[in-house]
Amino acid sequence: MRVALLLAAMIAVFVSAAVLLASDEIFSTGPLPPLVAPPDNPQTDAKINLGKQLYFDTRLSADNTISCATCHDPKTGWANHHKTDTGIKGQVGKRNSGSIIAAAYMRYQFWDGRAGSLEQQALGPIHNPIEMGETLENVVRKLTAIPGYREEFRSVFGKDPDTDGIAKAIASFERTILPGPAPYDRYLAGEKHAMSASALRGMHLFNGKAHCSTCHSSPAFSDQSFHNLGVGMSAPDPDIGREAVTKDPRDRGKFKTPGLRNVAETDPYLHDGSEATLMDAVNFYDKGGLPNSNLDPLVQPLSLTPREKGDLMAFLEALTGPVPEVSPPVFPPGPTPELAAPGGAK
Amino acid sequence: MKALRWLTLTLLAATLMGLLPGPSWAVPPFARKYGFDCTMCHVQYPKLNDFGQSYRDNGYRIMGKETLDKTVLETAPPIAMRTSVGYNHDTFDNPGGPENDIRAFQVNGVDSLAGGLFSDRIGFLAVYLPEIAGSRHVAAQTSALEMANVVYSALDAPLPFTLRFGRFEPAYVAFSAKRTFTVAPYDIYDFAGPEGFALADTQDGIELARVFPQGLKLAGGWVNGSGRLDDSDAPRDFYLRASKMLGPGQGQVVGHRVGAFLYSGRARPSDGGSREGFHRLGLDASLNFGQTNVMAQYITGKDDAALNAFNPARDYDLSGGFVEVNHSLPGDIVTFGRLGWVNTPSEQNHDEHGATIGLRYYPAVNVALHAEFSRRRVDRGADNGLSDLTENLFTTRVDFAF
Repeated sequence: MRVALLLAAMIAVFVSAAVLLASDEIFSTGPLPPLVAPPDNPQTDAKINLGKQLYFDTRLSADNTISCATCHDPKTGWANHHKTDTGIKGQVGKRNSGSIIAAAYMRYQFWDGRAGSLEQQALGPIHNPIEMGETLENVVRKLTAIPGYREEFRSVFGKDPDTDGIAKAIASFERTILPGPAPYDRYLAGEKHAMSASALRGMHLFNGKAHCSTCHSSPAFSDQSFHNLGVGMSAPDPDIGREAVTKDPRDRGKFKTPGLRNVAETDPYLHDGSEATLMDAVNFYDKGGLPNSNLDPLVQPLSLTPREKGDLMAFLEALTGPVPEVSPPVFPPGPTPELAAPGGAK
Repeated sequence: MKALRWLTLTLLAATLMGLLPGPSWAVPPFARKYGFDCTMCHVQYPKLNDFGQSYRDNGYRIMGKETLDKTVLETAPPIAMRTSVGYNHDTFDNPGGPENDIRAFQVNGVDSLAGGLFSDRIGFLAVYLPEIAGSRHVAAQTSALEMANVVYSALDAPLPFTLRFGRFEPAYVAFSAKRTFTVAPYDIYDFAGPEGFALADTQDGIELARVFPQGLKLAGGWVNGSGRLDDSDAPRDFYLRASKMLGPGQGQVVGHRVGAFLYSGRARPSDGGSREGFHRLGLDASLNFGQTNVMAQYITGKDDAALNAFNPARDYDLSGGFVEVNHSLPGDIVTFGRLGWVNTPSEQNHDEHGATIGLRYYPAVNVALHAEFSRRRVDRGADNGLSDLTENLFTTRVDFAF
C-alpha cells in the first residue's frame, strides 16, 4: 500500500513537472512566429513593390547582367543549384548562395554573419567585386537617372534614390518571402497525419540521435550562431569564415547555421556547396564533419543506419512549406531597357 | 515452457505497444530541459552515446552552448523517476542452502533522480532509492542515496578541468553499471575480497578530470573506498585513469576507446589491525563496428596478506573481467550478451562465472520492454563441503523512466 501511494505521489509530481516544463525547452523548434519588421523600416505595399523591382533588376550590377535573383532565384527555392555562383565577368565566388526563404528570421546574414540585418545584407552583393561589382554611388546614380525609379523612391521614401532606400526596399521585399505552414507545422497544430510515419521517426532523430537540434533549433531551425564543421579547412588557403569578421581565432572556420525551412529545395548544401544533395549532407554529418583543430564539439559521428537517414530525410522534406508565387516585376524603363524587360530577370 | 510463454506474451505486448500512435509525452529532466529526445544522449536509455558521454564530461552542459543553459532556478524541478515492472523467474540451485526461487510479477525497485545546473559552472546529479519492503510481488529495496555529487566545470580555464565532489560514479568504472542494458550486474566491479572491499560503482570523495585534445582523458580521485572505514579514518584510496579515443567519437557508439586504471587503497582488517594496502589494475576497451559495440574489461588485484582472511600467510590475488556485446537492430531493438568471470585464490575457491543474453525493444524513447536470461555459477570451497551455487534468472519487464 505504501509503495502504491509513493508511486502515485511521485507520478503526480512528475506529470506536473512535465507539464510545467513543456514550454521551457532551450533548444525547441516550432511554427514560425509572426514576422516583425524593424521600426525604422515598416512594411508597405509600395516599398515591397519597389524592392521587388530592385531585387530582379540587373541594372544594379556593373555590367547590367546580374541581379539578386540571379543567385537567389525563386525558381530554385530562392537559392541556386550551383555549388557556388558566377558573378560579373565570369568570376566564380567561394560560397554557396543561401536561400532567402525565411531569411528575415535570421539574426545574421551571409555565411559569416557580417551583416546584422536584411538591410545591411541587401547592399553587400551590389558592391562585391565578384558578384554584382557595382559601386553604391554608381547604382544610386543609375537609379536616379531612371524616371520611374526616381518617382517611386520619392513616393515611398520622400527622396531620390539612395543606398538607404535601396537597402530598405529590397529588405522589405525579402521579408515577404516566407514559407507557409509545412507538414511539420501542420503536425504541431494538431493535424496528426500531416507527417508520414517516416518523417515522425525522423523528427525524433532530429531531436535525438542525429543531434540536429543542438544547432538547428528555433522556429527557423537555426541557433543563430556559427560552427566549424571542418569544411574546406584542409585547403592551403581555407575560407576562415566568421574569423574574418570577428578577428577571433576561435571563430576560425565557423559559418552560420542556416535555417532549414524548405531546405529540401535548396541543394547543394554547406557554405561551399560541397554536398550536392540533402542525403549527401546527412552523410556528411553522420561521419562527424571533417577533423580540424577547431571542429565544433557538437559535431560528432552519429552511426545512423540507412533507414534512419531515410527517416531524417523525410522529416527535412516535411519542413517544406508553400512559398508565395512572385510574378516578374515590371521595370521602369531606363538606359538599358533590353536588360530591364521582364524576360531579363534572372 | 512457462518462461517461453511469458517471453512470447511480452514480445506480443511490445509489438502492440509499438503500433500505438503518438509521440512519447515525457522524457527525463535533462532531455526535457533542452527539448531533446532521450536518444540525444543515450544509444537507447540507459546507455550513453558519444554525445551523452561528452555532456557528462562537460559537467551536464551542452558542449559549446554553455551560455544558453538554464539553472534549476530557471526551470521546473528537474526530477525524474525510473522503475521497472515485470515477470521474474529466478531459480537457484543451492545445495545445502536456501533456494528462494521466484516466479512472480514484481516491481523491481524505483530510482528517483534529480540533475541540472546550480550555476553556469556548477552541475549536480542525485539518485535516491526509497525504501521498499520486499514481498512476493515487490523486490525489496534498501533506502540509499546512490549518488549525490556536484560538478564544477572550468573548461574555459587555461588548464580546463572538471571537479566532481560527493558520491559519484568514479572514472575507473569504464562501463557504467548504472547505464548498462543488463539487469545482471558486472560481477567484477561488485566482487568483494575477504575484507569486504569491492571496487564498487560509486564512491564518496573527489575526482579531478581533464579531457585533452586528440581524445586523451585523464582522471584521478581521492575516495573513501568501499572497505571498512570508520568516520574517524581519513580516506586513503586513490585512483588514476587514462583513456584514449581512437578515431572520431567517444568509443561509446562510434570510434574506439582504450583505457587503463590503477586503484590503490588501504583497508583495515576485521581484527582491527593497522591498515594495509591493496591495489587493482584494470584495462578496458570499447570497440565499435557499425551498430555493434564490443566492450571488454580486465581487472587484476592484490590485497596485502594481512587482508587475506583465507590465508594470512600470503597476499590475496584476484582477477576477472567481462566481455560484452551490444548490437542495435532496426526497429528500435537492442540485443546484448555478456560473459563475465572472477578468479579467486585457490584457498578461497570462490570463482564466479556468468553469462547473460537478452534484448530490449523500445516502443517509445523512454520505455523499454526487456527480456533477459542470466546464468551465474559460483564455486564454493571444496573444504566447506558445499556444491557450487547456480542461479538462473529469466526476467521480462517494462523498464521506463520519466
